[in-house]
Amino acid sequence: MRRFRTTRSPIPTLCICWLLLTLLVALITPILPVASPNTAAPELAWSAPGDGHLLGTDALGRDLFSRILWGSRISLACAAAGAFTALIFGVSWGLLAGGGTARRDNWMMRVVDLLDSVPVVFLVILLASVARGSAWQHAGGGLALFFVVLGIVYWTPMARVVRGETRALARREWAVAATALGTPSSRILWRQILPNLIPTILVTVTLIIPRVLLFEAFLSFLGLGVQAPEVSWGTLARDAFEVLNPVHTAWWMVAFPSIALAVTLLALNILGDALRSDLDPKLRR
Amino acid sequence: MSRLLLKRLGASLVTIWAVFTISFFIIRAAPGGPFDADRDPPPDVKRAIEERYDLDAPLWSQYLDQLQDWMMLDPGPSLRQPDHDVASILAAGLPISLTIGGLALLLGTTVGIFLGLIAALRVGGWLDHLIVVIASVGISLPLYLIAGMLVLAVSFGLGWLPPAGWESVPSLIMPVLCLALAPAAQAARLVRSGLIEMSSEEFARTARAKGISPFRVLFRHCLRPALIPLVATLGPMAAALLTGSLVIEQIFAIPGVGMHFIQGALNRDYPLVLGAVLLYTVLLQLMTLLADLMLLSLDPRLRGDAS
Repeated sequence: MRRFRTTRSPIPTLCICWLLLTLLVALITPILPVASPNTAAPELAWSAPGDGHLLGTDALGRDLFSRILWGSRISLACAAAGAFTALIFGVSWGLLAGGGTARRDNWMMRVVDLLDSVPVVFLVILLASVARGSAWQHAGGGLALFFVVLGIVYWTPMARVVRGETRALARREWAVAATALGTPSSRILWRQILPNLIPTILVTVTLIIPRVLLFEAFLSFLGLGVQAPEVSWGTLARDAFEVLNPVHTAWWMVAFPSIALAVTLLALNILGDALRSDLDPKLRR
Repeated sequence: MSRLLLKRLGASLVTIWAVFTISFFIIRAAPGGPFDADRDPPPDVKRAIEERYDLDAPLWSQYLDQLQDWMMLDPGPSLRQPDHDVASILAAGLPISLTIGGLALLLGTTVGIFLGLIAALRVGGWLDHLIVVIASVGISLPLYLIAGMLVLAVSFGLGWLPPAGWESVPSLIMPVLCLALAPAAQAARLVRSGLIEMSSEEFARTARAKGISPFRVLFRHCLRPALIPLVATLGPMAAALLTGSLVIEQIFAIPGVGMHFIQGALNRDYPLVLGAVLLYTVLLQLMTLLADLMLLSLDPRLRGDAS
């Protein structure tokens, strides 16, 4: 980490600052003195950014700034939950495949291959459509199901990376020595190989989070993800596009939620790339 | 070669069958049938509907019936538009989606290869930095942001192009441009790094030592091997295009497969959704197959392995 701070470019540091700020604001939104995100004020509908409403209001007169803050909570929670699911699934699968016999490795990776050749996104949309309107959704299970689904889509890259590294590490002298000393292979796997994988896992997770974030926005934009009255950055964009027409050009409704998402995505991607090139001696030059 | 092709086709068929099976059971596992959404119909009406759609038959026989129907490309009527059958709805949308997607892929990869070539020619220069920045921004932005900004600026601001619809060639420009951005950005990144890697190979050094101009070395000697990673990612790229087309068709109100798919998903028109999922799977398998064939023709080393 010390090395990381001495890299010449200040951009990764800026990215970390932005992400920390976003996270902090999302966490403390309920106690911030902002308008309620769901209070409609028809007389204030379509207010441009400025007096009273920093980023303007939407078609129902709800304060856009407050909605973006509240939306960040759900969007970030989705990203975190999805990445966490992908982390648990992917790391376990990759470790078990890479650390097992050649036969087990073979069938486990075949499963990953099959999943990667399936257009999972469309299956997820099918799943979302089935979950919609079912008793599930009304019981509040919709959002929980959604979290898991987000992770299921993105665990295969993690499994691949972890499996490859595990295979390489298991052939190192210290792993061979531990086997020769009679250490059970599961102990070698979880106590010796796993800690060595942490940098790789960290980089992969940093690169998975923006993809989950984007996927949440994508599904919510299509109306199949987060459902009203919950707000996310994706549903805000959906609201904006529903009322996009030449008479009322409420550009702020399109622009600000998208910019919040775009900057966060960019920060995560840059950070992930920086981490990767910093931890990979081949890329560091 | 033909054995490899057969094996690949077999794997594709297994994938398509797996997708069908998973989709079928996801739909059947749903609590509540497709007709429960609106209001509870009287019991005899409900029974009539269930008979009409064979919903009262045992699960396995429904599965086999549907499998047979789909294999005959005759999946029956849509639930929400009973006058139209699923096959004809999808067949009407397919040419439109294929036009947009095909044009976007063609435009994106061409522009991307060109930009990658320029960047690699001037590694470290300002043009290179600019292309790298644009490419990484282009990859990480949500598609609807780009589309929204374009509509606001070009249609509402300048009034140059229609904001939505599918009537004329001008209405096609913006959707294709938006959809082409991601493939272009990805192609530019891959080609650039591929070219940089190749130009440090010995054959490139030898070519330069013989006095061949840097552009010619890159274009005639390095470009072909540098295209391999790009062709190898053509499958995922096509998948991204298909997902992107859902957003684009929604924003620009284009009556393609994606629009029917999303409409079907929103009002739980299961046969239609299942049909679209299968159609997308077939398309994706075809693209991957095509990419593999291109890879074989680009990389003679793979041909050696195959025979």
